[in-house]
Parts: sequence; structure tokens; C-alpha cells
Amino acid sequence: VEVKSEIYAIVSKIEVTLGAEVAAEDVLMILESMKMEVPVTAPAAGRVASIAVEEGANVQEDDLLLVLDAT
Amino acid sequence: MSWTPEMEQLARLRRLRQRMGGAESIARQHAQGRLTVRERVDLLVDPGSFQETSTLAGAAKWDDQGRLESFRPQAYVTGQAKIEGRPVILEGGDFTIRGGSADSGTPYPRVEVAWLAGELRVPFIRLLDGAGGSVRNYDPEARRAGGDPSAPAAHDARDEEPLVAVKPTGTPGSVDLPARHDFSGVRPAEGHDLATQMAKGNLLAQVPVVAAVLGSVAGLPAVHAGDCHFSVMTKTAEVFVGGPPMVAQALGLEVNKQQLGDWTVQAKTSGVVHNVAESEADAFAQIKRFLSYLPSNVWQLPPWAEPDDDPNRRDESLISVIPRRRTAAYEVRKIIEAVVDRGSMFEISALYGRAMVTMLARIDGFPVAVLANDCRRDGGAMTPAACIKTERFVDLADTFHLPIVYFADVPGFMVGPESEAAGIIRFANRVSAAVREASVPYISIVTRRMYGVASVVAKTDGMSVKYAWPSTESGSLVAQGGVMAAYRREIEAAPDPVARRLEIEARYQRMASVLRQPGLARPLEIIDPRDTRPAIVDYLRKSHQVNATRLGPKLRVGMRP
Repeated sequence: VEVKSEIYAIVSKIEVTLGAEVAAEDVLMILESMKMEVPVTAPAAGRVASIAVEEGANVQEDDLLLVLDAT
Repeated sequence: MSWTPEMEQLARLRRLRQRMGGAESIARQHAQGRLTVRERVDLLVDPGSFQETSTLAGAAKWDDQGRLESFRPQAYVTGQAKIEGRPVILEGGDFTIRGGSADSGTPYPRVEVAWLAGELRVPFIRLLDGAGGSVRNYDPEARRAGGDPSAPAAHDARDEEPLVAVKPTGTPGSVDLPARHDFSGVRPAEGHDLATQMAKGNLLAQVPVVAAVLGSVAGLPAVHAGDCHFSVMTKTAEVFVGGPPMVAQALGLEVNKQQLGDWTVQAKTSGVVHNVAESEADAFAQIKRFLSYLPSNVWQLPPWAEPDDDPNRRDESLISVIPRRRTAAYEVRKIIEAVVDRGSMFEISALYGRAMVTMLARIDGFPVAVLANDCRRDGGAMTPAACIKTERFVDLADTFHLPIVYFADVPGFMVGPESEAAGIIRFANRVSAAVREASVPYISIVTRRMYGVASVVAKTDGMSVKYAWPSTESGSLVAQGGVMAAYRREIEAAPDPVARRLEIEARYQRMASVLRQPGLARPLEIIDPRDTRPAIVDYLRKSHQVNATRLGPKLRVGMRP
């Protein structure tokens, strides 16, 4: 499952590590936009297969943030 | 002597009409993943309810004995039908006939049904597929004949058994139709109030008008995609005022149809089309859903439905849905979901002006229009797009007497060069005017921030009420930013300017709480967030008796800034 950014933002904090097991709705990372911290949550339960961004990176709408292997 | 021969003639023309553009054209339409106009009508309306009108519209050719030689139907289907038991009137473009071009016949049948929708006060639906005008219209001969009937897609009538000769009336070479040109304009009528007189000829002021963009749509039909209360398009459809050939000629730009007007352009960037559908069936389901919240016309109340949800339900999640950290965002749709009747949400224009969420929903069975700032988008600030979207949605609600429920968390109108260049000042004025003009019950729930002039979207005049959650903070501008503007000299003179700034900001931040000063929120009362649904239900029930006395078209005086 590809998790993409819905907004133009800065990646302020990545809350998961490669290979971590997450439940649906778990916070994966925090994006910052217009001084608001916008949590990115897991669309489904799974294992973090890859992380496409680093903290501090600028992301555009539809940019890939992270890939989950659904469990 | 009976009229049986004429009836046989009529039946024959109607049989030919069912062939649309012919088997080849229909196969091409299907190959594009698109349905024919008749399949669309079948999917949209209640089974067996469709009564076609103007079935003879098209181009016919007669021989010297007055026998029908060929017939090419007009590229439009018009008629009356029912949706969920309620009467509607619809028209649909037939792309299989000359690409749905307007040169295929007269405009009268379509003007006729639009007129009928206004007179009968029932919703009007346009299923758009096809181009608009054509240069062929310049040719008066072809125009009178409804296009060239010998062109492909005309159905040869001679392969059928011979008919008794029936001389057609009117212009030779065409099927004659009644004309009614004077569709627009004010027509005062005895015994009607002023608003009703002024609404004459203006469908948008009288009945729900819906448009579905289902194919490649250009010209007048493209304009119709915006001339409505609700529009939906499929992901394989496009709509533009002028197609790629015109763009290439006029601007020397090579663009394809998708780049000009697919859903990413029209439903996301421009916002001209409200919703996107995954399939044509989904588009029709959305049209039905939209109409289910609206009355058939502005002289009726929106349809109340027996709710299967407790009016006094207190959703526990609401006490903690707003994060204590004021910079933490939350999903505002979860608040809406916790408050409205279960399963009643229908989001409009979800991809455009996303800092404001607009939804139709029900509360205690009453259809309502829900507004909610989305702090996840642009910090919840009112961008130009969010202003335009809100203005139109408030107008929709006001026109059809839908109470407005607004979940407010707004830091202000959007600042910055992009916003200013897009004309935020104008759109801020326009949305403010729309809210001021609205005379429906207007309930604002301030959930967190209420700053600046944008706070006027939480209506303060007329039949309005405001409640605030304890998380509310408000003022003329956010402390961060406001402090720097007001205390610049003091801050710059301090030994540690940053520390001084943060100190002053924190002081004002504490003072901004609604528990300390009413601020711009000025609520009637501060409520436990869990009491939000009961509070809204209470106001809806009480204001309903007033709302019910304000039926009819809304008078709008003067101009919006």
C-alpha cells in the first residue's frame, strides 16, 4: 500500500522505522503545513516496507511518503 | 376513416429513433467505456418511469409521394421520469449521432423540457455528452432540415414495409415541432408574490438543476456543466468551452482533451464540477443522493425523513477530538460524523477549496448543509478557492431552505502573495455577503480558532446561533504574528528579542481563550462538545417553524462585491 502526501508540507517527524508493524490508523509521520502538524495515519494494518522521505524534506501533493505491506 | 395510418407512421419513426446513431456508432461509444444516452436514462430513473418527449425531433426525408425515406434522430433525448418516486425532467446528449452536435436538429425540444421543469417545478437533469454548436449551423438549408438527413447515421426507412403515404406538415423535409423561444425573462403573473415573479425564467432560482459530464463535452453543453446546483463527472470524461482544435488555432498550443478538461482540471483545480464518479452508475447514484436532500422546488421544504438515530446521542469522542496542542491537526470529518445522523453524509466538491469541507447531511431527519474548516489543509485558512466554494454552498442552502451547520476553526483569510494575486479580498467580500444574505437557520459551532474577518462565516445576524467548545480561542488576529506586528519596537529593543516575543505571545495566547473573553466567537453559550448534537437538534426543531414560513424563491437585491 502506497501512502502519499495529501498536502504540500514539510516532513517534520517520522514516527515509524523500517520493518515496523503498524495497525490501521496508527500515526506514521507528522507533516507540517501552515504551522499545523498534520498526522499521516496508516490506511490499513501492515509492515513498513520502505520510507521514501527524510525528516525536513519538502513534499508535494501526491508525493510518495512510505510503502506498507498489508498484513 | 381512422388515424391508424398516422399512428403507424409515428410508430415507425419512433422505432427508427431507438436506433440512435446506428450499431457502429453505438459500438464505438461502448468501446470507450461509455454508455448510450438511453442506457444512461435507464440506469438513472425509476424503472418504467421514462416518458420520452419530442420523439419526432430529427431530420426526415420524404419522397414525392410523401413516404418516409430516411430519418436521423436529433442528438438529444428529452423526457419526463421519476427518481425515487419523485418527478424529474431530463435531457441527454446522444454522442452516437454526429458526436452529439447541435447541428443535428432544432433546439426546441430541449428548451421545451427546461421550460416544463420550471412550470411544473420539478428538478431538471442534464446528461451531457457531445459538442455544442457547429459551423454547419451557418447553412440555413441544413439548419432548417435539422442537418443533412442524407449524412451517415440517417436510418433508411425504405427497408421497412411500405407505408400509406402521409404528407408531413410544415417545412418540407423536416419534422415540424412547436417552438417556444421566449424561455428567459421576467413574466409577471397575477397572484404571484414579487420573488416568484422575479424567479420566472430562472431555473436555478426555482428547482434543483443537476448536470452530469459523461463524455467529451464542449461549447454550450460545457457551459451547462456549470449552470447548475450540482455537477458530477466521470474520470473518463472531459469538459471545456473549446476543444483541442480550437486551442491549437487560437493559441498555437498542442494540448489533449484530458489536459484541457478532465476531472483533475475541472473538479480539482477549477472547481467547476463538484464531484468525481468512478463510473457512470456511480454518477447516477450521486445525482440521486444529491436530490434526496433537496425539495423538488423552492416552494417546498427539504424532505424530512424519519431518523433512525437518537436526537440526544452524545458522542464520547467529541470531548477529546480537538488536540490540546494547538498546532496539532485533526480530521474534521470525524466531528461531522459524530454529530449528524448516522450514514447521512454526502460530501460536495471534496477535491476543490479543500480548506473548507462542504457536505449535505441530515440531523434529526432534517436535511442540512454542513460547513467545516479543515485545519489539515492550508491550516484551515479561507483560501480564494475555499471562499468561492463556501459562497456557492451557502447560496445553495439558502435557495432550498436547508439549515446551515458550521463547524468553525478558522485562522483567517489566507495570507501570502499567491492568495493576494488570486483576489482573496474580493472572494472574502463575496463569501461574507453570501452569509449575510442567507436567511435560513444558521448554527455555528466554534471548535477551536475564530480569528479575523473570516469569522463572519459564523453568521451573527438573522436566524443564527453560535455555540463554542471550551477549546475555543479568538481575536482579531492570531497571537503569533499579531504580537510581532503590535510590539515590534519593544521586542527589538529587548536583550533577547525571541524570548521576549514568545513571552508576550504566550500571554496573549492564554487571554484568547473563550473562557476568559467572548472575543469574536461571542457564543450564546459554551457547551460540552458531547452536547453538540442535542444543541443543534434543539435549534433545528425550534427554527423549523420559522423556516417553514419562508418558502419560495429568495430575493437577492443589488450586487455582490
